[in-house]
Amino acid sequence: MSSFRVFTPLTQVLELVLPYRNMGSKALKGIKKINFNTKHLKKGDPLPPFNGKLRVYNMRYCPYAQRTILALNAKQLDYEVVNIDLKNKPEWLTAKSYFAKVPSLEIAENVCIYESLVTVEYLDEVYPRRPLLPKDPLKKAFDKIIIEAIGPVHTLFYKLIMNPESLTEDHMTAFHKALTFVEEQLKSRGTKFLDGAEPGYADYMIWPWFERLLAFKEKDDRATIDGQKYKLLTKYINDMLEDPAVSQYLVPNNILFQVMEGYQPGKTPNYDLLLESE
Amino acid sequence: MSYKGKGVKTNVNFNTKHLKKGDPLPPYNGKLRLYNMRHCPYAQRINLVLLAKQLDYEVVNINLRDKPEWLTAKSRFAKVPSLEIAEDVCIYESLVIVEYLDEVYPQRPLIPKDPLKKAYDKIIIEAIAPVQSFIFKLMISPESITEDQVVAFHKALKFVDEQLESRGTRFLDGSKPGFVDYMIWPWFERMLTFKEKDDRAAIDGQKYKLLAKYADDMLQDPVVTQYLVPKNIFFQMLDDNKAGKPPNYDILLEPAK
Repeated sequence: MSSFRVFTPLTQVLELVLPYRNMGSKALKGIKKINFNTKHLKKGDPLPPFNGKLRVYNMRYCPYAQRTILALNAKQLDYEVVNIDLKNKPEWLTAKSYFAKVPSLEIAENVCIYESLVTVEYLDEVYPRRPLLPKDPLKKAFDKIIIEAIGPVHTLFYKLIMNPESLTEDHMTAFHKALTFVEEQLKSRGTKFLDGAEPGYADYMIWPWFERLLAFKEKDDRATIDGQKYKLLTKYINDMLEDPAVSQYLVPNNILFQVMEGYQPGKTPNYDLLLESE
Repeated sequence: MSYKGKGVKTNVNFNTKHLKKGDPLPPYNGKLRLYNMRHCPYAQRINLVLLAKQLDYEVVNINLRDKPEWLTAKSRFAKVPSLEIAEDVCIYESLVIVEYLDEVYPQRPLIPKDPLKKAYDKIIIEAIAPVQSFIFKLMISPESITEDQVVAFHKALKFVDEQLESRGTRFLDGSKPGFVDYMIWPWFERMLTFKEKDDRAAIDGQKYKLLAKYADDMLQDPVVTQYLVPKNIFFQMLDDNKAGKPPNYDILLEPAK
């Protein structure tokens, strides 16, 4: 199946995709709820047959994949989730995601887009309802700058999970510099969310890490966002928690901690904890 | 507000002194200004786009080891590139700058209009991350390159080769270079030079038939050629790194040896 994607010129692929683009309204969700908590498929598990819906190859706890989910939720699109066991990947994954990573967005059978920000920018362009990216080029540029600027927040979270002893003074300084930058952006924009009265691109793309910091401050106070030092940021995080696109995808803290413990050396994460608790 | 510059090609002087602590900020004169470092591959991306669009601009080179005090006012995280589009209005992060320029200056559009093509251009740009790490290590600490890094490097090359095959055009973006071609070029340029010193940087023409030809075609592109650095200069910089010397940013200013 990978040969189809690799050797067919993009122009031919577009003929398949265009009908999907024009039927954008078909993808709009009714009140149907998306099932996020499906079994994480592994080697030996068959590929679920494609049924015409937008499909996200996901991992329930991956912050990058969560970006795609948030955009789909915000735009109220109908889609399905295929969760992947990243420690024991199914054989067919590389046909759906060349580098075997999540997220990957299947927009038509065997036509897949990956890299989290690329999937979201694609969705925003093709499904114009509830636009997420600012139209103004300078505002759009600054949204993207914020997204890049929180790199040190990603690093802090990653190290807290994998190797907390390797966190240095420099990491903490960079982390606080990034938080200060977001705080300043909130101040200069003067709106409830970075992108205005409702969350937009920058808000959803940075959210997954703030969600995890909120949980992990219970485990390690280096993850704490000081309410005195970062007044606007603290309020902003609480406002984001109540956003419908965000709240439908939240994970209970105890589950998150259990999964993340599985990332320590010698252990394996149990991705299907949310299945078990239903 | 419109920040459009004149669409006139001028001979931009790239080889100015790299300003450091104590050096005054050159007064803003209304031109698009790029805070740059002559040998930085990320900053090179901006030069390639500005040259491709034949925009008038000026370069302010920065000594990254001894940064001027005013740099953070022009680039929040004190990095290059940063593009000053109006006095004190600056955009940074190389890809963000390029996407901004392509939107605001429509001559010679670089980014594909079709959302799927655009997505794949961006996927390729992300996919060459192992090439960026590999080149960086070759310059700074070649002994520390691991087997995994070599494997990832080759996987990335293979991906680009396959994209060339499936697109069937001379360059990734068509008969002329476009967004993805210019965004990945700085690292391919360095690979072409380094292979003479370290064959791990070589693009095997047997293994990657299309990629080897593509790199040679890019080397002849009129935009690319304007910003090339002579090989001997590159090798001098590599030798300086090996000897543990601080980088000689102004090496191109010095009279030819």
